[in-house]
Amino acid sequence: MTLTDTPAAARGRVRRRPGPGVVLSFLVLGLAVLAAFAPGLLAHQSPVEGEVLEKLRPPSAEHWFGTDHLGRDVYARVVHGAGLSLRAPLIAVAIAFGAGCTLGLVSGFLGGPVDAVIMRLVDILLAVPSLLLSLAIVAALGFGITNVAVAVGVASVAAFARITRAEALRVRSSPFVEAATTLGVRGPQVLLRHVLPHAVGPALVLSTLEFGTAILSVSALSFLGYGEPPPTPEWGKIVSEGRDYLATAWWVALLPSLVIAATVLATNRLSRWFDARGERI
Amino acid sequence: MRPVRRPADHHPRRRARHTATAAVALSLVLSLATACAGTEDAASPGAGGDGGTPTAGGTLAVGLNTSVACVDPHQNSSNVTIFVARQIADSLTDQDPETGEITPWLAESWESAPDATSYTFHLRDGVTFSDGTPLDAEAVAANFDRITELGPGVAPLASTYLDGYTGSEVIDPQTVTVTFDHPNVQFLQGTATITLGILAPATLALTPEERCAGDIVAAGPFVIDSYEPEQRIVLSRRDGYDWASPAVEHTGEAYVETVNFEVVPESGVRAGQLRSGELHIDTIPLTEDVPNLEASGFGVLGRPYPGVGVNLVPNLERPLISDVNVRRAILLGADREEIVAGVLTEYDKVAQNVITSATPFFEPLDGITYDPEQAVELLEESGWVPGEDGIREKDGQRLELLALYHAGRQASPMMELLQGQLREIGIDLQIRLEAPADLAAAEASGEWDLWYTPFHRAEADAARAVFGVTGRNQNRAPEPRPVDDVLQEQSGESDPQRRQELITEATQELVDQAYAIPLYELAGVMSYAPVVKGFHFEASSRLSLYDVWLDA
Repeated sequence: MTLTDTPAAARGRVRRRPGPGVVLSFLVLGLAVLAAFAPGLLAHQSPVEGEVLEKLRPPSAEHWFGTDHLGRDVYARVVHGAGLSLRAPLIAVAIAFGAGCTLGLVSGFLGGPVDAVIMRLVDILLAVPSLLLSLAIVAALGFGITNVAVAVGVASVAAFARITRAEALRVRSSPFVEAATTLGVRGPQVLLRHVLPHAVGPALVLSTLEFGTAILSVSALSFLGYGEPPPTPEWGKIVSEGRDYLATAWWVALLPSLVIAATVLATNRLSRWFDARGERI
Repeated sequence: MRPVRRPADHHPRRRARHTATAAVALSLVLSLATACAGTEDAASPGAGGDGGTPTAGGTLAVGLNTSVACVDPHQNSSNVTIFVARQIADSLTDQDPETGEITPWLAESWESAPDATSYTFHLRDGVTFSDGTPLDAEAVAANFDRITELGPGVAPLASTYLDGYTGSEVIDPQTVTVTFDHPNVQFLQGTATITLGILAPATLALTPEERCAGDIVAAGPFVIDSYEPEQRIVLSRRDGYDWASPAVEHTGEAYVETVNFEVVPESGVRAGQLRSGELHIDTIPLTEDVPNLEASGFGVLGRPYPGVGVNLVPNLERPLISDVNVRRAILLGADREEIVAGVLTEYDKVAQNVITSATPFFEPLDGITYDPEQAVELLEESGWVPGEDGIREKDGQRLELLALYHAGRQASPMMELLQGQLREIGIDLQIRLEAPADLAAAEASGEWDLWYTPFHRAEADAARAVFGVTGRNQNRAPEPRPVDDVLQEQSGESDPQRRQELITEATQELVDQAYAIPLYELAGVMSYAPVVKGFHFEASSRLSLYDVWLDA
């Protein structure tokens, strides 16, 4: 046991200081968050007004990401698009987390017919590919970034419900919960005071992971034209506007795509890091 | 299928999911990178233009940007419908693209009554529909009767061509007289359009839905082989075709054996397919690709569309835009020079009239200028004052207008540019692109302030067809206006000089009242591979494939 423990312990010590990947991820996400809350600090050009005769200029000192088909600064559009493109996944994850955890807890704690009904509904949600489900929901709700957020959120409820239910099941049968019940603590109290705090951890880790997926889904829907009407910039829409010019002006679509990819990868890396730390604790 | 997580072993599965998300993100980037590499180097040089001896045979692939929602020319007049229908159906007359002169086709000759209330057509002998039935006077009469029966609801454009139609009289199998209850001068040019193309009686007996779905039999040089509206339409050459219009280059059967109309919505993909030889003609190339294509030996055909140019048409039923000052502010706040130089091609021109310079009876009008100061004055006069975000307000209401448009060439960049120009004078222009399938319903709903209307027809009556209350009444004018009388009068005036005066008067009034907001003259622009020879436009600057041959 001591022998097998040693590498793990050593790895733990090394991991205590975040690696360069984690630092870089923090940096990327930090910039994205800064762009979302104070875009003016990162870009001074207007995201909606451009000089059309200066259209499709390649990246330069003046226009870091070049200009698009209407002469607007692509970098400014990406920076100003961060607000909507990050807020929507945040709303989506909040919806998925809130609804999913409630369903999962109730289902796991009560068991019996309630559990059966909720889990069959979750099965139905899982049976439909999540992007397809989001598309159907947003088509029913109408266009707009808030509706996109709701659609992506509803489509990821199932994962949260499943994982919370499993945790609730585990915690419900543990001795301290049984002790609380024996001592006469009422059902709702047990659920909120004893089961919830222990069951919610994995869901929190899952939410950081889902955030990355939600950025992709929101961008995908906005790419398909379900987001805000023009000229409001959103990441997916910027890529979509640029795809006509791939042959002549690659920067319009490619650079914003790289920003999306970097943000998603950074979120992924950080969620793994949080996960690893969580396990050690 | 998403993995179902269990608490005992969720760790490795979750790792798999990390990797999956990362893989999606990476593949997005990689696919973009390869797309760049794939299209940049594929230029193949070659000689454009014509020359050489035409050879028959081969398959011609033509790229369309949207699905053909309905292939029946009587019902639908969108560009893609006309591109396809023009190849399968012939018309009574043809029109010279250069002079605008009406020339014989299915009708060898015709006479019109001096007051333009009746027309007698003498049909060509020996013409048959592709189902073998003869194209005779009965068939022609049945076409016009059926269009009138369908009415403006189902056949909007064709009905305006037949404005005042009272009936067709069959004199003998080769002679038919069409009569109207009032003078109808534009009808003769209407017979040259595909909108009044002659279809077989068997087709006319079908329901409008069946006809839309590709069940069209006519007398053109091609017939429909298969019809998948969202993907492709395949035409094949009709054997024994021998009644080509004298206005085209050759006689007898068409040259190419098969025509594939491919629906490819992405302009970048169409450009790539054109370069790689998968497509021979791109019916709607991107402005930015045109110079590159020309430089690398590809042909580009560009010619202004005749008819009503790209105008925004105000909806007079809506409260904000029914104020003439708001309408005129948009007219004066649009910088047409910037639009044409910024997002259009060398073939497109700044508008000088509601109708384009390629239309008979065109004359430049006054008042179509860019004058933001005066636009602001007009808005102030109507009580619109700047709000916090620069958009004007009145009694707590924002000056917000909704413009609907469809996928015309460069329509999206143009609308976004205009949106920015109008923001400068304090108007918030909301723009929405409608899919072809939703267009008719969106228009009928009336839930819009401005409608994007190019309407291509080589006849000045196009202005009445679009704006007149006896036409499409695109303004949704609740009751006839003074301009409607003038529009109606010109359509019955057979004296060219008097008609010229009436048309100029009517179009000037449309501009003065800003019932029309002219922006630019759209050109039909198409790019084609060097192997394509004999490619030319018909009179309305649309595709004509009868003379096209492939230089193998």
